[in-house]
Amino acid sequence: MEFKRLMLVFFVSTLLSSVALANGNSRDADAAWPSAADGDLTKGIAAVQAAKYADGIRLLESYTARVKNNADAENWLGFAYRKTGALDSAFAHYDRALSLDPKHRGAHEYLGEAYLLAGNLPKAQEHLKILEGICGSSCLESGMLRKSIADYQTAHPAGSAAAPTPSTTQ
Amino acid sequence: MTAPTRSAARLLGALAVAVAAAALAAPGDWSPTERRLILGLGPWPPAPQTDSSNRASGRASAIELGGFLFTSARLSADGSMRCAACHEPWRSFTDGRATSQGLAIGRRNTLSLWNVASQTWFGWDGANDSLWAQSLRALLDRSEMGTDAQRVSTIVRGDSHIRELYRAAFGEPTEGNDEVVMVNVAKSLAAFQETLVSPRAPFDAYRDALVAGDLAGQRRYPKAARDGLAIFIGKGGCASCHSGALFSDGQFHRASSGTPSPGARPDQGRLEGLRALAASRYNLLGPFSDALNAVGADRTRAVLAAQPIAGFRTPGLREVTASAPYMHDGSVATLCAAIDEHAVSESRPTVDEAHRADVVLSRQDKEALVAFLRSLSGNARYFSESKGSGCPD
Repeated sequence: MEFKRLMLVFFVSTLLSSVALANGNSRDADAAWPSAADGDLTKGIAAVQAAKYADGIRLLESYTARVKNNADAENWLGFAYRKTGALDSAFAHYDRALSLDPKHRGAHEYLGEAYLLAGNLPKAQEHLKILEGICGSSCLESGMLRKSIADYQTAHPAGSAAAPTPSTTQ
Repeated sequence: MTAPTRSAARLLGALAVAVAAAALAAPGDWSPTERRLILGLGPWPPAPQTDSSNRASGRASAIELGGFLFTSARLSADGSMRCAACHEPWRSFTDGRATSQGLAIGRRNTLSLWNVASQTWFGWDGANDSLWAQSLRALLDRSEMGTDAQRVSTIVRGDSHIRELYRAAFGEPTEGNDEVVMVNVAKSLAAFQETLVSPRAPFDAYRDALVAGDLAGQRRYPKAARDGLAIFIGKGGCASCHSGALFSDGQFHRASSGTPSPGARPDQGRLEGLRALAASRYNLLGPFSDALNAVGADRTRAVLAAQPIAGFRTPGLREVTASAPYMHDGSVATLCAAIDEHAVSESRPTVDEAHRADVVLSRQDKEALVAFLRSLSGNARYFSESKGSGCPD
């Protein structure tokens, strides 16, 4: 499910950037957006989809070292790191995704979920509130984060200490 | 049309063009005093500087360690809070809240970290005289990350990646030196924060065009922002505290907000900060400074010996658009309301005693000031949203 949503975000973003380029809106756009055929990006995403996170991280790190302003790529990297348990690195890439696009729905959702893994319910709730401000309470991302928060609250009733998921670094 | 008539028409046309050009050139028409004040608000960015009290300052290995730890949640007491939770990079390194929320809710607004390396005193109350000591305070404060030396040292020694980064910056994190390890972690966090320099903003381009006599460059700066600049350095009196390239004098002034709720302890600002500074073993007079005899230590000695003053530190204004809400208690939601807090407006005829009592600003004045403040953002998104400041009459 998460893969499908990530792919949807990626294709929509690519489509929008293609439209921007086709309209000749910005010279910067040429530098900002690689062609859809950028090997590291497409192979990196494919690797993450195949749960080959180490490969995906290597390829996407290579891509983001060259292309500094692709919020979707940073979000994919955050996702891959989170799946390997490297929460510190996941946080860093979600931060970058939001720095590039403060209304990035996927990054808000995943950052909220990363906070839950760290045991920080208030920050997760804060990102849900931001998401609802961006896309309402019925969009996919806010719905998923709301469910994750509800699951967390069920697992950690008020007053019980939430043990944060041990984080390992790369 | 006869030849003489055509010549006269051409002459009139040329005159019209000249008059229009003169009108467009008006942006450069500042008095010598105004020009000096405007040029004093730059240049930007500042020359890089290092902190002599922090041996990690400017070192790539320490910056890498500090950058990694800045995003990590593991240093905090329960592993849930990270520096970037309050200083969110995507929100101008603030959190959008009235008062901070770490492990508990704090009582002051989170300050932005943009350009923090250029400051002399840290925090709203100046309780710390170095960026590394300020970082240490956030690590130790129970309402923020609530950690301790043993936990920090255990994490540094126990995680292979962090240990490797630490070793590259400071050498082996030996056991029995927990406090030294914790202070070094704070110094690496400071080294990272020193790299957070806000981008050039439309105002900087205007200022530089003014210096260069570049009229075309000056004309690119919107009239509303220019009008706001005139008020900022003129009748608004803003530049008397929001001065220099940081738009802050770094000093402490009484603020007009901050009426405590019934029963709450009043926030004494700088008075509390000075007490904390004097009591801290991590100040520039203490054993952990790497430059005991430097200027900073002399400044700390002098401040601790002087008559204490109340107030809160003047915050810088670069990237201010993205750092709402405002004031030390976060009680002011918008830029327009923040201007109201500082001056008499036509609808609010009272003003704090520390501010100019003769300043009366109309709605148009305030909207122009907001347009100017937006031009201090390097993020085009905020600058382009300058239509409709929402300032009430």
